[in-house]
Amino acid sequence: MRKLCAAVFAISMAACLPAAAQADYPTKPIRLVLPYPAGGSTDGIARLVADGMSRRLGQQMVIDNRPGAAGNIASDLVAKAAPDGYTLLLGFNTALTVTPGLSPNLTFNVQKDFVPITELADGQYILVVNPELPVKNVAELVAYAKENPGKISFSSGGLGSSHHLSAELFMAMTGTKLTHLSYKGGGPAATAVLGNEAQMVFGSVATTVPHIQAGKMRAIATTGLQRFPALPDVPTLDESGLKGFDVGTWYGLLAPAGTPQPIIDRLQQAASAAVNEDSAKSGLALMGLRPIGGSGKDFNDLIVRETATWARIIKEAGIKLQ
Amino acid sequence: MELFSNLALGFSVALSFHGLLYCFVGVMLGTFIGVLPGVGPLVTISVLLPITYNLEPSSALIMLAGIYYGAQYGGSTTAILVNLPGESSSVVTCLDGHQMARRGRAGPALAIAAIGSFIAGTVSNVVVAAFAPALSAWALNFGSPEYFSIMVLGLVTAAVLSHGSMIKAISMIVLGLILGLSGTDVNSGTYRFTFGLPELTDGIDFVVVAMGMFGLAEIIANIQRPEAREIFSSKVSNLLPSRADMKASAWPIARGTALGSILGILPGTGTTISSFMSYALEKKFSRHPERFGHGAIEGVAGPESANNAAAQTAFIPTLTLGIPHNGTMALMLGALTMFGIAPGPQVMTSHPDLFWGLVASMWIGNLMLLVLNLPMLGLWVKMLAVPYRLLYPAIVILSCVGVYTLSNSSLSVVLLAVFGLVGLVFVKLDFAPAPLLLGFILGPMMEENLRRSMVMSRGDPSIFVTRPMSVAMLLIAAILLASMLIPMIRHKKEEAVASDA
Repeated sequence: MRKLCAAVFAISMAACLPAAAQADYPTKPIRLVLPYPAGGSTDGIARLVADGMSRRLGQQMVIDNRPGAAGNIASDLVAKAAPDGYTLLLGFNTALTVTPGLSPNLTFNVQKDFVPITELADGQYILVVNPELPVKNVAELVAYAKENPGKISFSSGGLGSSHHLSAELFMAMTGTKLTHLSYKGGGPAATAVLGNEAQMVFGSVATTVPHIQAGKMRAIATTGLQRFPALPDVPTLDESGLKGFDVGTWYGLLAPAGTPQPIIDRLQQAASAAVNEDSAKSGLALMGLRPIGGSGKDFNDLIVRETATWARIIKEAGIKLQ
Repeated sequence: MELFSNLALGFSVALSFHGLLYCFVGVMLGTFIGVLPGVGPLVTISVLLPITYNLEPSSALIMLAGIYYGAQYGGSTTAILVNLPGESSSVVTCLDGHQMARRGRAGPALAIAAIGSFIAGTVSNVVVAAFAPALSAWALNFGSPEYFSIMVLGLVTAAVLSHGSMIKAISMIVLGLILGLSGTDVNSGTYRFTFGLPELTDGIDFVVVAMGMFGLAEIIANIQRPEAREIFSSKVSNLLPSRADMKASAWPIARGTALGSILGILPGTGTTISSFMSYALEKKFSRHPERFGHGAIEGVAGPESANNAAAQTAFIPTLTLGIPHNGTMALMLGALTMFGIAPGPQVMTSHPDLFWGLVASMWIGNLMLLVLNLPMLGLWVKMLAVPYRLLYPAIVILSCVGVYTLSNSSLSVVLLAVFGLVGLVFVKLDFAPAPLLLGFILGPMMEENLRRSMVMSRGDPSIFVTRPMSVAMLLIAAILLASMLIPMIRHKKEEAVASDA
C-alpha cells in the first residue's frame, strides 16, 4: 500500500512538473544522499563529485550522510523521495547488487525504484596472503588449499561484504574449501592477515597496497579484468586460470524512478565531466579508483548483470540472512 | 636511535603551525569543559567530533587528545575550588583539595595539582614513546582468543576496582552487555533486537548511551542538588606552594606517576581508579594518615599525578591494540575510523606522523596547560557564576545537536532522551553508570572475538587455555574474581555468625 501511494505520488509529481521547470533545472541546491558516515572513503568520492557537479550545474550539491543498515537507509530514503532531480543517491556495488539477493524483505526494489544516471568510478580488490603461507601465485594457492582442506582461513568485512562474496566466488570456481572469519569492516579483516590469524583476504587497495609494499602481505592476484596500474606485476585472476573472474567495487549516481529524462541527461553530463577532470582523476587514483562516467544504460546493465551473478553465488553458497 | 628520529618526526608535526594551533585549541577547550561541572571530555569530544572531520587526522587527534587531558586539569580546578568534580577522576581531588581551599590554601592546592600533573605527564609520555613500539610489535600476536581473554580481564578488573556495591557494579556490567547485543550479528548477519528499526541494525551508538547516561542524567540530577553550588574563591591568594609543601609532595607525585602509568596501560582500569588507588596508597604510606580528609597536600599531589599519568599511557592500548580504555578513548578510536584509519597495531607504522605527532603534542600540551592554567584561574572561577538556568539548557541543546549529527538520525535524539531518563533513575538508585558503559563497549567485541575464536578452533574452547597469553590473562581474571568474592563470602559468614550470637 505504501509503495502504491509512493508510486501514485511519484507519477502525479512527475506529471505536475511543467516542461519549463525542467529547462531551468536546477533552481535550488541538490541533495546527494550517501550511505556512509562523514569522513570515510566514500565521503571523499562524494565530495569530489559534488564539487565538480556543483560548478557545472550552477547549484550547490549538498552531501547528506545517512549511514546504516549496509546502505539500505540511504537507498530507502532516495527511493521514496520526489523524482524531481533534487534528491540523488550515491550508491555502491554491494548495497545495490548484493543486498537484494541477501535480504528478500527490502523496503525498496533497486531495479524498479531507481533510474541509474551514471557509473562514477570503479576499482578492484587485491587477493593477498600472509607471507608465511608458502604460495606465490593462484595455482600454488589452489593446490595448497586442496592439499590442506579448510586449513586456510580468509577474512572478510562481514557476511555479504565484497571480501566475503569474492572468496565464495573463488571457492566455487576453484573447488576449494576455505574457512570464513568475519570481522567488523575491511580494516580489521586486513589486520587479521597481517597477524596471520587469517591467511588471505580479498582486500581493498587502501588496506592492502601499503602492506604489500612493506612486505607484510603477498599479492597473489587482482580481481578485475585488467591489471591494477599500481601493481603492474600482479596478474589478474582472469589470466591466472579463473576465466571470467571479474569482481570490483564501484560507485554510481542514481535518481528516484520517474525523474524526467532531460534532468537525468543533464546530471549525467555534469557527473561524467566532473569525474573525468584532472583533479578528480588524481583524487580517485589516491583511493585506487578509476573514473568512468558512462551512460545510464551501461550503468543499468551493470546493475542487472551483477545482481544476477551475486544472486546465483549467494544461492549456490547457501548464504542466508534473516 | 630510532626513538629520537621518531620523536623528531613527532615534534615536527606537533610544532607545526597546525599542530600547535589545534593542541592549543584542544587544551583550552578541554580546560574550559573540565571546569564546567558535570560536563566531561566525553560530551565535549562527541559534540566536537563532526567538526574534526574537516581536519587532517593528525590535527584532529591532537585536538581531541588535548581536550581529553585538558579536561583532567580543568576538572581538578573546580574540584579544589568548589568541591565539584568536573569529572569522575577528580572526585578524589575534592577530598583534600577542597579542604585546603577552605583553609585559604587554594593556591598551593591548585599549583601542586598542576605541577604534579605536569611531572606525571612528562614521565608517562616517555613511557609511551619508549614502550609503545615494543607493545605494538607484540600486539600483532594478539589474536581473537587473546582479545577475548583480555576483555574478560577488563570486565573483572572493572568490577573489582570500582567502589561501592559489588552487586550493583556487576548488574550494571551485565546490563551494558545486554544493550550491546542490539545490532547485526557479525557471523550470521542476522538482526538482533532491532525492533524493526533500520537505524538499529548497526547497534546503538555508544555516544548516545554515554551522553544520555552521563551528560543528561547528570544535568537533571544536578538541578536537584542546589547545595553543591557554594563557590569558594574569595581566598585564592599565595599561589605557590611552600618549600615544605614541595617536599611533602615529592614522593606522592612519584608514586602517583608510577601507579597511573601502569594502570593506564591496562585496558579496563583507568584514570578514576588510579587516582583512588593513589589516594589509598598515600594514606597508607603517610605517618599521619589522620590528616587525610583535612587538607593534606599529599592527598592532592598523588591522585592528580596518577590520573594524569594514566590519561597519557591510556593511549598505548588505544593506539596499539585498538582497545578503548574508556568512553573518551572509544570516541577517539571512532574518530580514527572516520578518517579511514583502522585502529590497531598498524597505526604506528602506517601513520607514524599521527602517532608520534600525538605523543609529542601531549608533552607540549601539558606544558601549555601548566603555563596557561594558573594565570587563568580567576577567569575560571568567574565562569562558574553563569546561572545554571542558562548553562544547562545550552548543554542539553548541544548534546541533541551532537547526537543528531552522528548519523543524521532523529532516532538518536530520542534514544538520548531515553538513556537520559534511565541514567537519572540509576543516579537516584546509586548505580554508577561507568560499569554499564564498559560492558556496552566490551560486550560486542568480546562476543565477536569469542565466536571468531570458536570458528578458528572448530568449536574447541581449549583454544583459550592453550595459548599462553590468553591463559595468563584468564588466570589473572580468575584470581581477581576470587580475591573479590572470598572476602565477600567471609564477610557474610561473619555477619551470620554475629547475628546468631
